[in-house]
Amino acid sequence: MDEKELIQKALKDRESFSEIVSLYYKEIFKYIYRRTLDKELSKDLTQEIFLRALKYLPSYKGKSPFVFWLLRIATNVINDHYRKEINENTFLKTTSNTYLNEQDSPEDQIDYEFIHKCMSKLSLREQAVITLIFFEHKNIKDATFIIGKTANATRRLYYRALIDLKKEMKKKCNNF
Amino acid sequence: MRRKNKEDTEKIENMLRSVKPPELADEEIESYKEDFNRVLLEKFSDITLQRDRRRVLRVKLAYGLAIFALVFTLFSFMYVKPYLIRVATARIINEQLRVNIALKDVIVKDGVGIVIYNYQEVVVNVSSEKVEVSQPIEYEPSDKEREQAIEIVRSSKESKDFVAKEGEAPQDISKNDVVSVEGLMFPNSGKKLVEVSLAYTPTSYHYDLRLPSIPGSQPPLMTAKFTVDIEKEEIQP
Repeated sequence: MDEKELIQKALKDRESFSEIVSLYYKEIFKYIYRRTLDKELSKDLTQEIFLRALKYLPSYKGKSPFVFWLLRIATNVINDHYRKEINENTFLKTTSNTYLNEQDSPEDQIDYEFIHKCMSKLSLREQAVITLIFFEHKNIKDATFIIGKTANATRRLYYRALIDLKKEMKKKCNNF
Repeated sequence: MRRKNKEDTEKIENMLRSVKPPELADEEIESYKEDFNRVLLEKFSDITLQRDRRRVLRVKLAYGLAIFALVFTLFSFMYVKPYLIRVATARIINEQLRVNIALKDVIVKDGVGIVIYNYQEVVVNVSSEKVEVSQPIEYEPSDKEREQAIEIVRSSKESKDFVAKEGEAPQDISKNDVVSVEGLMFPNSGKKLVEVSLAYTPTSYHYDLRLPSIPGSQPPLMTAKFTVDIEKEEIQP
């Protein structure tokens, strides 16, 4: 059974939808985890993404690969989550507990946590484009589908994200 | 400068490519997936049911909107368009003839605005903003129109408190003789006005008893003309 048939069947059949979940759960979970670095939160958000996907499944028109459609929902769910946190003023509190100390010397350890800490200062769209391109190994064209902007806008967003990230890294480490 | 920016961008791109994202054990993710499948077992039927219900509602809403749009279009042709013509007519007359017209006095016929003003018919073509003024033509009113017009005049305040000249005391001429009844018809609107003339004697006239009477002499006969709008059942000012 090809993907399209499976999706059609999944509209009414739970087993078929479970099959879709089996196919994409790992990829979506990893994407969420790379954006949040929080397992429990990633689990909750992944659940929300698949439930939202089930709810809006009839709106998937097959113009892009199904996984891009799921990643788009994932990006929106993460953005919604962080916007809500920012509104509730809990964002800084949670991030400061999760990440590295300011005193750590990043010049020796450009690790993901350090990058993640710097990225958390960027806009949510900039965070999404960096994660998709460098850690999900998508190209600009794929990111365009997922973020839902034009190719030029995505390219501009990508370069702006790199510049902003460099500034943030410079603040934390003079090597940049 | 541009070259430096490019180098900087390449440097940060290379650095990001070298960063290893955190990896999770497959078993751990599998266990989360199993947890989710249990949630799905509970929620699948609810979500699909809600989704179908929402789709039915959307279809109903679409039909509702279509019907509303249809009714609105009909409504606009019936009421909104004439209203807009009235507004535009009043504006054009105000601009070109310097006369203020109440919207209720504008007649809309065949897409043009018509106003009866000062015994003249003003026809306004709203799209070209062209104004035409035409005179009414006389016609012979029917017996019914005559009766109606006379009745309206006799029961009107204007005939009961008739003042011929400023400063004179009002007098009741509603029961006086009818001297003439004439019809006026405006060619574009088809509107009819009926002019009713009643006889009266001025209140300032007194018999002078000192003067020798002249046999057969009569007090002066004057006529008061009332213009009646039969449709509105009122006397035109």
